[in-house]
Amino acid sequence: MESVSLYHQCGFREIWNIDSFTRDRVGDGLIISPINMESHKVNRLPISIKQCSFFDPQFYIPRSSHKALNSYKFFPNNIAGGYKTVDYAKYASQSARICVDYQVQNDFKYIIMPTVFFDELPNNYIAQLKELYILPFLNVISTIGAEKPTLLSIIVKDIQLNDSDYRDELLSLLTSYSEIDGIYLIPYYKTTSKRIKNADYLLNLMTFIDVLRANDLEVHVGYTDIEAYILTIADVNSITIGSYENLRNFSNSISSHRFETKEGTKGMNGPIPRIYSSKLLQWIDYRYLSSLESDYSKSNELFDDTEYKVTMFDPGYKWHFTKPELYKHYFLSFNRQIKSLPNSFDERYNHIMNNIKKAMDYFDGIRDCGILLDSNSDGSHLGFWGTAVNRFVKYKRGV
Amino acid sequence: MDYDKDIRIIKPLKEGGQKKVYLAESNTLGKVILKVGQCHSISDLERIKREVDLLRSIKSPYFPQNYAFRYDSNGNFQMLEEYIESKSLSECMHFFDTEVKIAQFALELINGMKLLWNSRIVHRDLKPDNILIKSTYQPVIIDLGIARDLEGISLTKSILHRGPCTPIYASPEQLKNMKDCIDIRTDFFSIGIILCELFLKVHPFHPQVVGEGFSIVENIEAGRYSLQYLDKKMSPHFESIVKKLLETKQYNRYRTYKKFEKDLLMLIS
Repeated sequence: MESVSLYHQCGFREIWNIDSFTRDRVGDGLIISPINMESHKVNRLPISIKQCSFFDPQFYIPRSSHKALNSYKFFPNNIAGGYKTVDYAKYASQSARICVDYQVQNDFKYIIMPTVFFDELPNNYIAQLKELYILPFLNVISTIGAEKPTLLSIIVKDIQLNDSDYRDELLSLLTSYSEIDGIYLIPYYKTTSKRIKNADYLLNLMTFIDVLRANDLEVHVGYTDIEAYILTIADVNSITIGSYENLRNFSNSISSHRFETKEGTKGMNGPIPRIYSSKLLQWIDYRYLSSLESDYSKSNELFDDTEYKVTMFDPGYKWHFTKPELYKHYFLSFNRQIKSLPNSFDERYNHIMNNIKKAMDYFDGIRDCGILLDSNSDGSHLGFWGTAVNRFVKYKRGV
Repeated sequence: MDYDKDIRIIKPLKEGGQKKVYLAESNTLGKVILKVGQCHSISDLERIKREVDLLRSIKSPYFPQNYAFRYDSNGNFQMLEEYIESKSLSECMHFFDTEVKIAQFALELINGMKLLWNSRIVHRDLKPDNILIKSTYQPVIIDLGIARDLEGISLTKSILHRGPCTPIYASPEQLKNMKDCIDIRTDFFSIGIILCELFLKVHPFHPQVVGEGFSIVENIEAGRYSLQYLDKKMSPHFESIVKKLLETKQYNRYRTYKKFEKDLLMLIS
């Protein structure tokens, strides 16, 4: 297995990611978000950052008239002067050419071929993806003889993972281009819970990744939250860390209309601030911290030591979801976890399962001392995670 | 070229589908292959024109050269191609009697086919009758009539039960007419059948090999085949190569011809 890279999924307040990457040395690069960063700002990023980062063209909602996208000529709605699927074929090649040129000129690590989001999958969605996006980009890349590795973006919905016909169709598509080097895979999973508590879905995602890896494709999974920890058993090349929740869950990005309207926190009814615990493999509602501190004897073990933890644990700290410490602590803590993963399959499996079991033990201890965590802070996801990992290992061993 | 004055038919070679194939003599070109036929639809004619365009664009010893092509408004066409002194692979299967010889043949075939594959073109009808073997054992690939340009407009109606192919050498996706799924791995499947047939001297999906009850086509669709027949048994390495080629699901086959080539080279070394 290869060591797993970690990319910052940039978005609103990407400066936190840049700080974390440059100052705290967290992660292996950034995934630049044009809806949050106008073209001239991207051009001004230090070359040392760009060379280890990639640029996601974010064609997800091609009709979007998001203001920041105005600075990108290649964006479908700009180049077509108002996007319509039926007319777009005549603009597709031009858009691809400008978009590829932009990525090459900025010297990003990869060339990313964009994809679109379908709320309901039309019957011809594969044909649409091919005709309007994949083939125009491949043609440009081969014409200019681009030497940079190429990643094909794809959004994968849970229905496409659960339904064998959809899954086969999608896998056939993704593995059909010998010119590409890998997949920028964006899982789309709607849930009301903060954690994914569905072993079937997680297993399907892992086996899907496994097929791609067996085809010698790199797999970079975007918009991941801490579930990415267990996806590493499927030998992914990279996963992501993001600050706000909509950068850790693509379904949230879509439902919050992030790709269509300007983001901000003003007047926003934000989520309860949470702090990440690498020992619990969970984000914990900060309002439990005082109970944990007073009643749980091992509370000092739960949160990794970082300078941000020191700030947050100061009695005068004003908790709010817009504070950078929450996220910078998570970045550091999760980065350490990912970078400590062993590179042999069996060792990685044992390592992950041991940590899941340890987390379950911590949760048992917390409950035993009378602290009843809510379903978004407790360990109710861990059984599903462990089951998915065990089932994946059985699948790999052919049991 | 004035066909009527320049060409003298020597003997008929093949008749099937929409065309007759003759060995002929040209005053200017010497021995040639003359294909004469009638297209019953515009898409048939488009296929023939596509074949001509392809042959003219390739110019390689692995493909016959196209000298001339003409058609009329009734769909009648005549095509003049290079005559290649050779036998079809069906006629000289006995020569390929070791895994190494079969692997060397496969490497040659890939060498030729990559000219199509690199241009995103799939042959879609690879079979022993469409591969000629020269006295040097170099293969020549013929009959590009149903080759598909993956970026071009499909000439196959989606409602057809089966896509254009020779069913007993076709991949499951061709048999199901899954047009969007046709790619170079479709040719890999046909090559897999050919390599097995060269080794076993019998079609690997034949009821005689896998057990009576179903036809070859039904066995292909069900992924039912055998790599063992009578006293013939493949080495594990060769077996792993053909198994990968014969996977029912495309994503389990080789993704690129380079990997396929690499495994064949390892077998030879």
